[in-house]
Amino acid sequence: MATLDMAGEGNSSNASAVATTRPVPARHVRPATLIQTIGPGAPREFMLGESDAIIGRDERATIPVLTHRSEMRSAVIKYHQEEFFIHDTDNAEDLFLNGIRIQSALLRDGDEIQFADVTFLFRES
Amino acid sequence: MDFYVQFWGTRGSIPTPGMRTRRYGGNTSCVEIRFGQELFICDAGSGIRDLGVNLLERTDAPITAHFLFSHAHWDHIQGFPFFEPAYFSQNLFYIYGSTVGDDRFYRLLSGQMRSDYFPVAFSALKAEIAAAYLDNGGRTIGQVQIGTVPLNHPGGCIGYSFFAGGKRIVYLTDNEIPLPDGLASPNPATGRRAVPAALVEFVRDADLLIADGQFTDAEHLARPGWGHSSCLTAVDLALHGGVKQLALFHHDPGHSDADVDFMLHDCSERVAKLDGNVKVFAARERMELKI
Repeated sequence: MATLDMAGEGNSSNASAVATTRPVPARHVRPATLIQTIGPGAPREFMLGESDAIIGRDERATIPVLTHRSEMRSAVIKYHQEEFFIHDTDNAEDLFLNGIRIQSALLRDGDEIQFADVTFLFRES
Repeated sequence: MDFYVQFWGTRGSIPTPGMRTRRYGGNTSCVEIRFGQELFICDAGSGIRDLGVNLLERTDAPITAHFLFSHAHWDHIQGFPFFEPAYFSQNLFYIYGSTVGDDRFYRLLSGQMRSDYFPVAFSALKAEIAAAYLDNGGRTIGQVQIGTVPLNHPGGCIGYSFFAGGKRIVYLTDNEIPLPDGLASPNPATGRRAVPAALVEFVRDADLLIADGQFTDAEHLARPGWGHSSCLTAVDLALHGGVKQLALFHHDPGHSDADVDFMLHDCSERVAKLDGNVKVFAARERMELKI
C-alpha cells in the first residue's frame, strides 16, 4: 500500500513528502499447545491457533475427550486479540482452572485445565 | 439464576503491566458482577477500559450499569475516563453514594476529568450518568440486595455485599485487619487470628469473598496503617465467616506472579492447618466465575 511520508510536513527545510511503499505486517499468531496429561488417551498434544478449539465428547470436538463420563459437555478455546481464552460453552459447570471452577478465563503458560476426568496443561511458546 | 463475577483489574496502587505480572494481571481494581439483567461494576481502576471494550463487543443494545465504588483513591477511579460505553448516549450509568445526598463519587469522577488532569471533559461523556444513593448503606436493585460495611483504610472505604437467588458475593477491598502484636498467639481453641466481629457477620456464609490480601505477614508488620491486610488474615476472616471461596485481591504492585503463587501456597497451607473448608485462589484478570 503506497503512503506518503509526512515527516516533513510543515517544515520547509525538510525534504518534500516522499512516496513510500510499506509492507503490511504479517498477522502473528502466538503459538500454544494443549497437552492432555491425565485421563483416557493421555498423553496427547494439540496445537492451538486462530481457529476455535472445541474440547468435548461429541462430533464437533476438534480436541476429542475420550472419557466415559456421559455428563461431560464441551468447552471452547478461542483466539482473540492475540490471547487464548477458554469458555464453558454448555454451562455444565465442570470446567476447572487450576482447581477453581470457572465460566471463562484467559489462559497463561502452565495453567491446568480440568474437564470431567481429563486434565490438560496449557503451554505457550 | 446465578451470579457471574468477572475480574477486569486485580492489582492495587498502580497499574503494573509486564511479563512479571502476566498471569494475575497488572490492571488496577475493577470487578464486574452480573445477576440476570443487572450489571454492577465495583470500582473503575484501569481494568475498566477492557471491560468497556468487552461490553461493546457483547451487545449493541443500550447498557445500564450500577457503579459501586469502594473509595476514590486513584487506583479505583483512574480508568473511568477510558470507559468507552460512557461516550454513547444510549447508555445509562448510576454512580452510588452510600446515603441520600452523598454524591462524593460522582463529583470526584467528574473532577478528575477537569482540563488540568485530562484532555476530555466529563461533559463530553454522552451517556446518561446519574448520581444515585443507597438508603443508609443498603438497597435492592432488581432482585439483588446490596449491603455495605465500613472498612479500615486511610480516608475511609466501603465494602459491598450482593445477595440474590440464595447466593452471596462480598467485595472487601482495601481493608486493614490489624495483626496481633508481633503475631502473638491466636485463639488457642481455633488457631485463628481475631478479626472484627462486624466483618465476620458481613461475610457470613458468602459463596465468594473478594478480599484484600495484598501483604505477607512480614510486609504487613512493616507497613502498619497502610490500609491493607495480610493474605493469611484474609484466610482467617474467611474461615471465621464460613466463606466457601476466597479470592485474594488487590495484589501488591511489587509482587510478581511467582510472589502471588507463594502467598497462595501459604494460604492453602493455612486452610489445611486450621482444618478449614474454604477454597482460596488469587484473582486474575479476565477470570469469570459462575456462582
